[in-house]
Amino acid sequence: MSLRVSRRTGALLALLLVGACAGVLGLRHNVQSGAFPHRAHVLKGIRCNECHTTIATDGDESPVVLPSDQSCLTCHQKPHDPRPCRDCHGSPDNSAAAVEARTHLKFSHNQHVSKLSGDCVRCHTGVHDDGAALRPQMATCLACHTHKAQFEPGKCEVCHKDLETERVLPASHLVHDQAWLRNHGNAAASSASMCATCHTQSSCAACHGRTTAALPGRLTFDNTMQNTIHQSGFAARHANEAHAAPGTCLACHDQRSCRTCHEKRGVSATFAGARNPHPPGWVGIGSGDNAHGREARRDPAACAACHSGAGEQLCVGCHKVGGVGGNPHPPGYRSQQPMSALPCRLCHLP
Amino acid sequence: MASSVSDNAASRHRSHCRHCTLGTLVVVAALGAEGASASADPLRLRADAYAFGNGGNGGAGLLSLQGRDKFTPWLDAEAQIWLGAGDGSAGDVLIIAANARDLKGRASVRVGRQLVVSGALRPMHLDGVDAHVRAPAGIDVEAFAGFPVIAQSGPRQFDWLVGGRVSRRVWGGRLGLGAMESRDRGALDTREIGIDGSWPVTKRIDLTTAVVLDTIRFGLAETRASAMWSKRTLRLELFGVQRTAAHLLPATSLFSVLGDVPAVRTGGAARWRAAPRLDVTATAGVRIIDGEIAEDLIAGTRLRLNDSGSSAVGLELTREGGAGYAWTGARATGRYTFCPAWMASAEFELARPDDDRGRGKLWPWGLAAVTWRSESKWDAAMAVEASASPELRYRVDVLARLSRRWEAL
Repeated sequence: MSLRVSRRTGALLALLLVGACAGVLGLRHNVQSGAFPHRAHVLKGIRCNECHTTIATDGDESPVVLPSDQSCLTCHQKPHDPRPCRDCHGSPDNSAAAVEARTHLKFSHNQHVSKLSGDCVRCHTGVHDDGAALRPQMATCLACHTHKAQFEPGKCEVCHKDLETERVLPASHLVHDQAWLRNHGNAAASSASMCATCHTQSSCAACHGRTTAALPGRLTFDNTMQNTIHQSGFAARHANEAHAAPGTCLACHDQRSCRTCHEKRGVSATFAGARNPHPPGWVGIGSGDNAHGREARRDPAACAACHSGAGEQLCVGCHKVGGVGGNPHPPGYRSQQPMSALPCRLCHLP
Repeated sequence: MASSVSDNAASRHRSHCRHCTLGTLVVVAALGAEGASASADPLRLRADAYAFGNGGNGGAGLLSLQGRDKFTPWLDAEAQIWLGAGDGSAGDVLIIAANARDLKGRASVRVGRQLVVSGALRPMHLDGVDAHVRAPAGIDVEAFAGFPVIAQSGPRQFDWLVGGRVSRRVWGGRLGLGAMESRDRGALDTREIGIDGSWPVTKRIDLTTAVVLDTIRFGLAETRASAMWSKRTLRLELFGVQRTAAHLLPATSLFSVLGDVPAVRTGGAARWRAAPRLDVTATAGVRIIDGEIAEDLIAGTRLRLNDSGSSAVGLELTREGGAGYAWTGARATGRYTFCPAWMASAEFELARPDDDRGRGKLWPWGLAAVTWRSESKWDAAMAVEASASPELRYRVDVLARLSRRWEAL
């Protein structure tokens, strides 16, 4: 019984919490104070173009023309305030959105108004709700077959003048969340041209470039909500993460990257007095764990990070034909390389 | 700071130095000439310069350039140049390329140092040419050739890379087949075949896959597949990734002969917009490496404090398994925009390794930043970053960024 009561109490508390936080969660729409009462005007039967007088002829390059005081004075003949009407009866957000749309989008009202027979509300659905955003969502545009056909093959330039300067984030149709780091390679594999509508070569090279990692996340250190591959305290965790995902580091880093960085920071076995990075029992001849073989097969890239190049001689000292290290190849190993090529010749030719 | 770090005998090799860098300075300056309207730009040049200084180590820098004009809309160019660092790393060019294209989108060619991403093939950094032709019937043909870029090194004799990809629309999606070969001083370094595909199976389900085959030591180098279902506020994904590190290494490496031991990661991910301003995400998966099975778990939530999302808070919990390398962590983030000009942000992470091996029981990391943006196009940010790591008992850095954009026709 007590459990039932506590469950009920818990549910009640949860409901109260959701109710109390409805505004924060976005469940309750915040009506903007001072927003223009579009709804009241529509209900009065006033057509949009009675105030927005130039809208039916506005083209792609036409300036944004918001209704003037004269439009208001045709009905409201006794103004109660000497200031411009829009200073109080208008949302600055909606005005800014209109200017932004004109700046960045290719859009002609004159083409759309005639097709929709002057039914502006079909796109500007926000007029039903005073204070709501009036600029139509992108989904509204894509509801039309013509624009949907343009969107699917990634022809963004049909509507967007320049996505780079518009700085629009693909929040609605292409979410770049934490999972994106894992699967962006798949998307780029088959839709590289889609990526190129927003991203330049520099975006790819910042991580995948071989000369140096520019680490774009590091440049925008104040954007703490961003998702990056080397997030937060990655420097402390990097050994754990590299061990958990063999070969992943090679997608961006040269096989010698680890050694280069460790030597710079003085954390390397090549320094006099530095500790051996391998645990006891790493190499054993006839006794001990001899763990190095198992670990090398599991992540050969980790070995190559320090022992590539001249360091390979350390391995070849034992793992040569007739050597005590035995055959390092697994059963059934085959290669298209001739014996005279590297690395075969390190062991197989004198 | 980092008082949790054990000071036992096992950790005696760990650096006990108290590293404190007060004077790390990051400066970003954006220089450019941009028109008020992108479409009206007769000429647009943009330069971003990034400079970094760390105490007595001197500075470093990154320069990005972009150029295009409306009189030759078929041509643009970009460059990204690492200017070097005072700690001894030399400067080098990441990207310097010109791109010419047919205005109807039928063909394009890029010349210079560039990053080639072609289907399932690994990203290739090369000095060369990448040409792209869109043929009728939904067929795309791409060919590239050049010299592989080697870090901190100029052109080397007998280094070259060549490859291509053909793709076409199949069953409403796209299927691609690519191949590449590269040589390191004349020695065969990499030869691989890549197959990629993506299909919208139904209105709500998308499939993507990529397979890379190493043909020198015949075997799968990498396989990735993902199936995604989405409806309204919910998105579910099943994914699988297999990588075989020995096949991803150059064939000239001694460590490439150790055989096929793939690392497999598979699982599912979910993203739910629980409320208009509240997102909940979760990923659950397993990793299988050489018979060892370990868990991968991430759960997170993000609450936007206003409709634009300029103010938000987030929390993320992570558990990564694995014998000897498992860790558990929590990350909290926050950003608050006081007004269009001022923003404060903070991030804190606490990671706890299961087996500290003398590297510290807890690895805290935190950053607090303040950003200021003026209407006159100045932008400044300053942050304090503090951390404790297996390397250092604690470290404090002060970061700063300053930028300014000039617009002129």
